[in-house]
Amino acid sequence: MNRWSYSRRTLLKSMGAGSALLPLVGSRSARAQAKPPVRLIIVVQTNGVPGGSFDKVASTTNFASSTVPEVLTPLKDFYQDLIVLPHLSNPQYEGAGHGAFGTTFSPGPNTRQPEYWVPAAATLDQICAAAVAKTAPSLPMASLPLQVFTDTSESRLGAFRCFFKGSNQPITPLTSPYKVAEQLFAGKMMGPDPALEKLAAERRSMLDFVKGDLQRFSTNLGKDDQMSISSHLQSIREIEKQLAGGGGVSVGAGCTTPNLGTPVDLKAAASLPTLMKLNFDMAAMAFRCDSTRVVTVTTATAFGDNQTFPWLGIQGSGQEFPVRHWHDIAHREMNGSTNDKLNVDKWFMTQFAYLLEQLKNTPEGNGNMLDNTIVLWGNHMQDGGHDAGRLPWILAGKGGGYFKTNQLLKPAQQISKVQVMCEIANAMGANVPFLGDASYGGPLPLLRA
Amino acid sequence: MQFKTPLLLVGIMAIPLYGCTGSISSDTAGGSRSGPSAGSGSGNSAGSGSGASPGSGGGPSASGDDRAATFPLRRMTRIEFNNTVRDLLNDTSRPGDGLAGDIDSEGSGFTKGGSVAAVDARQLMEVAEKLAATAVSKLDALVPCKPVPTDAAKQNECARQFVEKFGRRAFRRPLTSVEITAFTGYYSKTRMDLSATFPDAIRLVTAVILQSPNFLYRWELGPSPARKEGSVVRFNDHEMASRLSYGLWATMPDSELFSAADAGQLRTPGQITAQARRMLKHDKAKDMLADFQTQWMGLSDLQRVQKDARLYPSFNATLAQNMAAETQAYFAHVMGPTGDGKLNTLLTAPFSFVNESLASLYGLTGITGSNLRKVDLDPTRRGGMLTQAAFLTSHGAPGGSHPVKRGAELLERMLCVELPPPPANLPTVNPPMDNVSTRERFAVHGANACAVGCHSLIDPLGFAFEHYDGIGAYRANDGGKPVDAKGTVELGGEVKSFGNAIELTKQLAESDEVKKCMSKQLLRYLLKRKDAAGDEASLAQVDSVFADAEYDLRELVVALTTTNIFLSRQPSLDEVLQ
Repeated sequence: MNRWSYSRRTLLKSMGAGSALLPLVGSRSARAQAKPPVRLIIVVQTNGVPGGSFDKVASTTNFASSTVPEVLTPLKDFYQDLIVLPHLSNPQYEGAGHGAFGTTFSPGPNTRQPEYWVPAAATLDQICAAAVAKTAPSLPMASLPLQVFTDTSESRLGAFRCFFKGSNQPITPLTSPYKVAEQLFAGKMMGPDPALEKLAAERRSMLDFVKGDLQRFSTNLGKDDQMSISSHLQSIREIEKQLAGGGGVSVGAGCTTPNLGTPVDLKAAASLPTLMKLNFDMAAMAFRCDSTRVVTVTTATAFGDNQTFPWLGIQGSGQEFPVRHWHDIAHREMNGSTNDKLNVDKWFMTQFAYLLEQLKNTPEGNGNMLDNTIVLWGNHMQDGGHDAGRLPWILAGKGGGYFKTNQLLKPAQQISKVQVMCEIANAMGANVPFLGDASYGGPLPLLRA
Repeated sequence: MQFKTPLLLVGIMAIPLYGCTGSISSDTAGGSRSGPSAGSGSGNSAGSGSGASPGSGGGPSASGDDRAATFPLRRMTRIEFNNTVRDLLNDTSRPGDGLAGDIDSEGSGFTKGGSVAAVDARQLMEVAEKLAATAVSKLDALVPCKPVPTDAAKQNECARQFVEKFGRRAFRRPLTSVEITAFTGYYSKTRMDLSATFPDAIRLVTAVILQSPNFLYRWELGPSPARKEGSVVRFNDHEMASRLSYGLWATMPDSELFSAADAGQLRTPGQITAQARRMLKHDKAKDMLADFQTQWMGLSDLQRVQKDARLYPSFNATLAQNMAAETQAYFAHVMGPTGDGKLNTLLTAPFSFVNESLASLYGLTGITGSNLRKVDLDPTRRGGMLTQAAFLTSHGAPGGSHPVKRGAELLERMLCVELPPPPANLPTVNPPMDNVSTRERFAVHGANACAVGCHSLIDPLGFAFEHYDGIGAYRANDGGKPVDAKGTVELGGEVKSFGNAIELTKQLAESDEVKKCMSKQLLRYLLKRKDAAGDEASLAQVDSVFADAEYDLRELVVALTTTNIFLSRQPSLDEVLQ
């Protein structure tokens, strides 16, 4: 579990001390722009909400004063920051809910691999990362893909990956927040560490050579294959940027080395609460340090067969499943007289609240970081009934004044998830009239301030 | 874990009426396989292009005999990476396990190496650094000059020889002089710019070799462009060596294959089949056979499947490992030099390889110790791979059998029938109750107009296995009454009846559908893609050889290595050719 080398041990020691070290890019913060940048964080929760949660709600522009469904009550400190979208339509997808996972954030086109759809083009996070890269090309990471659990042996793409750079190019997420901390914040250490410096110099030298090697290799390849190599090259350039220790142009005062606490076992089910918080801590710190402006967080696979919730006291069902895992809970909410699904979903909402708290507690510009962030808490099906035609999504944050929060939108004429994604992309600077196909619906002014 | 259909829910699959047709034929029984986006250009771009969906580019050409598919650039799978590192560096640390997962290849049911995007390059870098550091700790075993020189000029010469010799094995082909100069130049650069010592410099050169696309990707073509013969490109000697070694051993070529490639002796069908036969008899074939079987039969679930501890107190990780070992040993035996290779044996023979913990599961006595040994089984209860615990446990329920999972697996993997996905809002089958058998619970499918279309195909095949519980143990009764495992299946245009799994597997082994499906599944695994229209001629060729060999699966594998689709490829769109 803990394979720390000398250089990493030094790093950990300093992080544990929690000392507020100024980043090496201190000089750049003097050039900080007057308006903080807009960031996006997409969290994918799975298996929908408890059945019927959103059946009786109605549209409102004062969500904080409405009757809030029980599953959302853990968000009570943030009602006015939300836009609740209980029944988004899902164009271009047919079939059962689990198979919709891979294309949750895809504006299309999509391809169907047996039972699981996968995007045939970039997903929302990559569209936004590309838009950001036009105005901020030297961010250390174009996007930061996080995953709160270690990988299963699932190999059908659409069942465990929902962020894609393009067709057949799934993004591999980082599953260790400790590694994320090392990657993103190691370059910010003050003071020389000869071992770290030697490693960095060697890596720069190696990567420089490997880049040339990849370019030579690519010369005779066909177009499709060149795209694979080009994606490989881009990954290398990202490492180079991280090694250079650079930050973005707009580093806030809150950029410090994060406190990681005692390392937990990444594979243990009981570690999930700690890992969830650590991942959200990394996301918030990455925004404060302007290491990236797009973060994605995957919290489960399309089914959740190995995901259990021991800290919520959820045991066996006494029927077919010896231990209630997420997939079982989704399809059979009640365990005697307790609604296990409601309890698990409310727990997820407390995590959502934790994330919002980290953002809201970061002062920025004339307000706080939540004002300048877009949080998309998405899901791939309505509830345990597999309905992938009505998706429950929640937006939070104003995205730099773009979004009009404190509302719930459930119009008679269904709005599509692609319309929502289009608005997000435009808030991030993409400037597009629609995403995917114009028939999925155009802009959605109701969301805007 | 392949083709884990969404039947993990309390076992239902209701399919829209346009879904399954009423019969099993050698074509798919499902609805249209390509989604609404098939017409748009990007469909299956970047990395596929084998023509699996109509309308995508790079598919088979017009003329008859030399049709072949494109061979897109692809990374080694995790198993291939681990094995290659084992053979190249004697390193058994299995670093591939920490790399980005393999991904499903075009819905073929088999995996290919994942692409390199975002964080993957960093993982590869860290793995390469670690492997290089370990290798250099035994420097005299790594470099070709013994003893390791201390004189600078001799060290430089040694580095050059190292690049040539190690590079050749790592890239699976001789390096060109341009490449040798580049890598030797890098060695000099590290000595100068980084003040690296000789061992450090060798370590860095090793690390960049291991991060080279020439190592990571299966493209042994080298820097010279490919040459066309007719409308296709024949794989050159070194590419053929890799094609054979990765296909039959899941690893890099051995010295015999390298020598054959160097001497231009991997060109005629005779030469290739001789190597293929040698390789199938070799121990390294066991890795490939285990990998194929695990993916084909959906057995990777076995290590993670959960069973009801009250009903199956003996089931634990060790028993699961033993089950996997048993079924792999069985397959390796049938396909190995002491087996007969026959399809019929694979699917019906009443023997297996058991140890003490498996013995009690199979109701055998007098077997002690943990090694597997060949034993005869009761032929009225056991026959072939499908009645072994691994298959039955992977595709059972936590508390019992699961006829829908077992039936669907058979349909898809042995009969090559593609099932359409279930719709939203599925009703549930009742959970287990006393006095109600599993078969009775699932009978509800027959009464449901929406379900019956596909479930009339799936369920009978699953019911045949009702004599085996959730961990594959034999049972005479279920739900308080004798097991009913009777059913019918349409094979070869005729309706066949069976009384239980033993009879069903015999009929499957004799059927054309299963025989043809075997060719397809092996093609899919060897080439890591879905079969497509352009493969017909090659499949017909191997089917004929398979029949002549009285359905010896080993001959089927060998036959595949001399088909056009194995020997050549379509050029990719915009590829530079000579």
